[in-house]
Amino acid sequence: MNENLPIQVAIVEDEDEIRQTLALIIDGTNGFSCKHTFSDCESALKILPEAFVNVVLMDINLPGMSGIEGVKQLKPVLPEVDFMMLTINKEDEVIFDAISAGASGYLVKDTPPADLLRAITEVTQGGAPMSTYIARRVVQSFHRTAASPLTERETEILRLLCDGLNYKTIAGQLFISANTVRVHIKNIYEKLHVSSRAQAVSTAINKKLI
Amino acid sequence: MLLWCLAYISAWSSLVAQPVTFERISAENGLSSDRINALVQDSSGFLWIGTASGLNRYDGRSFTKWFHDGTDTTSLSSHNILSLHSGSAGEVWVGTDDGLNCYDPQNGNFRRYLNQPDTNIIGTHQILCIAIDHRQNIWCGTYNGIYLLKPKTGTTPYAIQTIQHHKNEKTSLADNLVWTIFEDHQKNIWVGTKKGLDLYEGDLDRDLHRFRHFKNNPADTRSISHNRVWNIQETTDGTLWVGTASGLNYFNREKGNILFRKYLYDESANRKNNYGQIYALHVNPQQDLWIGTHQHGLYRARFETGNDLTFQQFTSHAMIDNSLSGNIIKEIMTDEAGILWVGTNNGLNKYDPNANRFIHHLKPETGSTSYKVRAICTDRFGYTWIGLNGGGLFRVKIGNDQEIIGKPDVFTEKNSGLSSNGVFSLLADSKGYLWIGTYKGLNRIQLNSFDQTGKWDTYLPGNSANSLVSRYIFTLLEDSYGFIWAGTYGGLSRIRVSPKGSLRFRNFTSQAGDLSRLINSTTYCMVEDQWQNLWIGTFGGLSKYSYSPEADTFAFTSFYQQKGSPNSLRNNRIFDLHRDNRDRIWVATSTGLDEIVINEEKPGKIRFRHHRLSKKQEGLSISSILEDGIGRLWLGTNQGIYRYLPDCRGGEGQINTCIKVFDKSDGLQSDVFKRGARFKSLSGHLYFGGTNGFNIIDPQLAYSDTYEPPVVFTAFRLFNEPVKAGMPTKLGRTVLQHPVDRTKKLRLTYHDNVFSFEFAALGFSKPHKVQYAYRMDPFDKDWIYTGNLAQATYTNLDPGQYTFSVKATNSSGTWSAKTAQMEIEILPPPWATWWAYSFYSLAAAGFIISIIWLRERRQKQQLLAAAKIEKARHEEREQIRKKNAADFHDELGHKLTKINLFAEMASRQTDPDLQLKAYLAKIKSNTAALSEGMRDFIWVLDPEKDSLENTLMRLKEFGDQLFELTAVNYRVTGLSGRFQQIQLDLDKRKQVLLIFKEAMNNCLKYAKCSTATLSAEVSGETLHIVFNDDGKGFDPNRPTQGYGVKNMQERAKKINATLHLNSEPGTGTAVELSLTIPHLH
Repeated sequence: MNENLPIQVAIVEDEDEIRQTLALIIDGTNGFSCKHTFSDCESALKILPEAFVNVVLMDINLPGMSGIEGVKQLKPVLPEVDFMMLTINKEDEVIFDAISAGASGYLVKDTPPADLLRAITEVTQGGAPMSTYIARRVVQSFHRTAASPLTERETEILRLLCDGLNYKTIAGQLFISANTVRVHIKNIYEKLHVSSRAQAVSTAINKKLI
Repeated sequence: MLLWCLAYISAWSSLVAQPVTFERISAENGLSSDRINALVQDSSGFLWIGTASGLNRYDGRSFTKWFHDGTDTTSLSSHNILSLHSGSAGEVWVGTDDGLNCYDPQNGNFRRYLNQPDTNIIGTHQILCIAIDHRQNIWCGTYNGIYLLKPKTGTTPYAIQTIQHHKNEKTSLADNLVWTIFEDHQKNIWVGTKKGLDLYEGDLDRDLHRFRHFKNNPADTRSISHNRVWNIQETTDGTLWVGTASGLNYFNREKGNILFRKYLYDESANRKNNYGQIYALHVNPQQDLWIGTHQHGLYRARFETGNDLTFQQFTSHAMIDNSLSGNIIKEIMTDEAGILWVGTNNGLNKYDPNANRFIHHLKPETGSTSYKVRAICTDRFGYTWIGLNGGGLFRVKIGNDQEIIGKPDVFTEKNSGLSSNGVFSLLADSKGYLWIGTYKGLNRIQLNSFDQTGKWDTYLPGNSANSLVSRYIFTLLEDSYGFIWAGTYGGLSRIRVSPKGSLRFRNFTSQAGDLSRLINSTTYCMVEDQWQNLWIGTFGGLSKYSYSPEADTFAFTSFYQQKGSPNSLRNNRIFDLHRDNRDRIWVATSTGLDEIVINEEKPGKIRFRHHRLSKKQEGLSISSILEDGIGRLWLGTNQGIYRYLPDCRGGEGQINTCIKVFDKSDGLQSDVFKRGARFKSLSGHLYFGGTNGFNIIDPQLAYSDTYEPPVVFTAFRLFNEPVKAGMPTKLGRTVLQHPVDRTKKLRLTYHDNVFSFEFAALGFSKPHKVQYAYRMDPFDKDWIYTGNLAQATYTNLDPGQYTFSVKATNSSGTWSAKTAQMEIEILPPPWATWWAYSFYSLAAAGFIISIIWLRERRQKQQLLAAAKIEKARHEEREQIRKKNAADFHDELGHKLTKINLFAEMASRQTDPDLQLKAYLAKIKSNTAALSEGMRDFIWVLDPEKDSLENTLMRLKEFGDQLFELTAVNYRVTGLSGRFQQIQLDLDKRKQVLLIFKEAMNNCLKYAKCSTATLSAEVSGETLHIVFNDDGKGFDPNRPTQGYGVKNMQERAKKINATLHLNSEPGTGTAVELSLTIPHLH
């Protein structure tokens, strides 16, 4: 990612004032640009595939198509784009579904904007926040598939996450940097996404949907 | 030796006052046949009568009969019974014309011996006689020798052999026709055959049979009178009496010589008319000989003074119905009670020597009316005068034996000077006159010189006061002053006869209400007491007449029945008065006997003692009183004659020993005796008259029965059907294993709810006078007296054990001690037995238990359901709460987001005004805190986040976030999978969360540490959560502000946890929370 270019952010949020104010804040911050805002998935689906975007902030609760569904549809089209789910409360189950759909992480809406911007920066650098819960779900998810596509390092990190260690501690323990940990996690996400997508296909084949 | 040849003496004047009379029992009474061949009484007391057509057993009330049944081998082998013998155990040996039978009382069946198919010897099977010797061998005489049955063990109880005449053996049995076999008291066996008398001299053990013969030798007058020996008996002096076809023989061997002394021997007469054909011979307990002949009736022979036999003959007379019923006599026996039984060819006869046969005169002749005797007296010339109601006046001479000598002299209205044929009273006065009280006046004749057909002195009521008060005269008396008193229908006349012979009358009558006069004019009887007072019994009370001769004054005192006063007269109708030998006055009334009790010290105080004569005294009316030589009162009543001993002390049940009742069956003229018809002769005989003549009673010879008969059960019925031994009833059960007279125990089921017993007292004296009583213990509280009815029925008795007892009196009313008893067990119906009841109680208990159990289960289920519902509701509530909160948070969250954004915008719009910036920063931090708080709030409410692990996770994430961008190394340790199972409720997780969030905030703010650790540990039932850092620490004792320690403590308290704060300046801080989690394991 070219660090000189500002990060292109798109927002899909149905609450007008939030969408608009957030867009203003992001756009008004150095290094960020927010030119695309949508109030629902349908309109986002129309425009985004052609747009030049780095990060999409997707509200989970949207009228019509849900945010997760939106990610599911958009991620294959925009594989380089990081989708961050916007949520009021951290509903773990929903977040895992989102990640399985292809999201890179999530953001709590009423996070102070500074933290919000930092998180966006992080995700473009490859980091993705993963909670212990989500780590466990990931492990579970991978167990359901025939073979685990994770590397040894990834598995180890995942295991440490499951045990409840945070990134810092993991990094210290593995003698790697916290950043590296995040990158591994991002990869895990990718693989999870793929695997979940693959699972969906296999399920569909099993169910003779395709 | 002189040849004794004695002709019998007939019409011998008996030394016994009571004559021999026979009561007849025939087929009309129930006997199977009148041709009686044999009699015996078994060891139980039953009388067995063997006839030519059937075997009978008599219990005094009815006959049980047995016949031959061709289909039943346990029945009699024939019903022509020739001989009987009783065994010691109640069995009866029955000899028939076809074999020997033995009746087994235990099963009521006959076991046959010696009948056609049984014997291995040719010949007849007519068992002419049976004898049982002291070794229990059975000897049977037949037409073809003797059968000897020896008892043995094994399948058959007897070994049978024969003893026969052998022509060439002199010592063999004299002849095969054996009529009689007899064992004497010296255990010799005598056999009477067709050819003489034999004495057994053989060896029974070795079966060597030899006999010594005694035959008739016409040349030897000391030989037996005839060779056909039919009967042999023995008297206690050892004399053998041998009855033959011609004559009775006295045979006594102890005297050394063999001597047969002959009696009843008619040399001349041919066989047909021979009066000496001795068919039957019997010695009674008094050692009298009873001889039954062929066609000449019955003889009784005794040794009188002079060492010789005297005979009395009894024959059958068609007209005399208490004579023998027939003259051909086959069997004679005496039973246990001393009754003589005579079996003839025309029925059975019973002579009870202990039964009274009072002399009865003026019995009605057939066709004519009876003699209603109303007055009796004897005069000094030896005549007995009898006044009759409607028959006039009789004069008879009574002999020493109380018989009427000659014919009575009869005086009537027609043939004499008698005023009326209705003669009601007689008096032979001290001056030789006979006063005759009739229906129509008073007559008087001079006893030794009266003219029958002439005119008799007659006194009638007339116009003047000096005449008889009334012409209907009831009673006459001569008092000690010489007055003649006439009690009449209409008053009392006192007659003074002057020395010249003229009569002066003084009359007394009654006036209603005036107790100073005669109490009632109808005067029935009079008696003079020891103080010369005259007591007068009337139709309406008792009067006492007191006379003082000096002043010729008199006074009447009245006595009558006063209801409510127990000492007054029991009844006002007074029929007779008597002064006894102790000068007590007895009053015969129409309801019973009273005694006048005069207190000598207070002669004015007179009371009447009531004497009770019978258990049920209804209807007993006493008409006359006499007294015998030993102070016993003889009372003529309307229920026979009572003999009463007034001072007899007997208990309630002993009333019969002080009182004896005689009735028609004792020979009395009838049961009704008339008022005033009584007289005691100088010889002490008691004359009682009634509607059927009069009786003369010798008080010393009035017998009462002393025999105590045994009581036996004679029948048992179920639902009125007789139950046979060994046979099943209609319901299929065999209720009686043995005949009822041999049954001691009876078992009945609840089906058998109507049963009855019949019983009998085996006393044959007067079975109709036997009284019975029975009781069923414990059902009946006392004896139930049934009179002569010998039956008891019970219905619907409850299940249980009972004892049924029967007792009986003898013919005199004395209770016999020999009672009959039967144990009865009534089984309960299956639904009432003890195990049924225990089953019920178990079932009931089980039922109750199951009900309780079901109820508890239902309650439990209800509780569970309720709990489930409650839990579901609770969860639902929590979910709702969470949803509500979530919704609110959503709403709130958006607003907060906006505030944040706007604040950010605001801070970007203006120039950096520090103050403004500070305020905006505060807004931002506060909204952040608010947001976090809201999230915590939601999280706490979430019921799915209820495990310890959730809480620790949250704390971990909070810490992660808090310390992420700091220099602090934060980690969480001790997380274990177990913590997923440990549950924290809402309050706990809230407080734990807030406590440690505060701790972590404090740490970040003040501790300046490099490492912070959150750890959790469970020891026992306590959860320890510790947050420690390696910062600079603080002094916990110093009051601090802003550290929120107090807050944390209070939070801990809220959830009953303890909080420890360990810190020291320079060593770091540890916040430890200890929480008790129940059921941790």
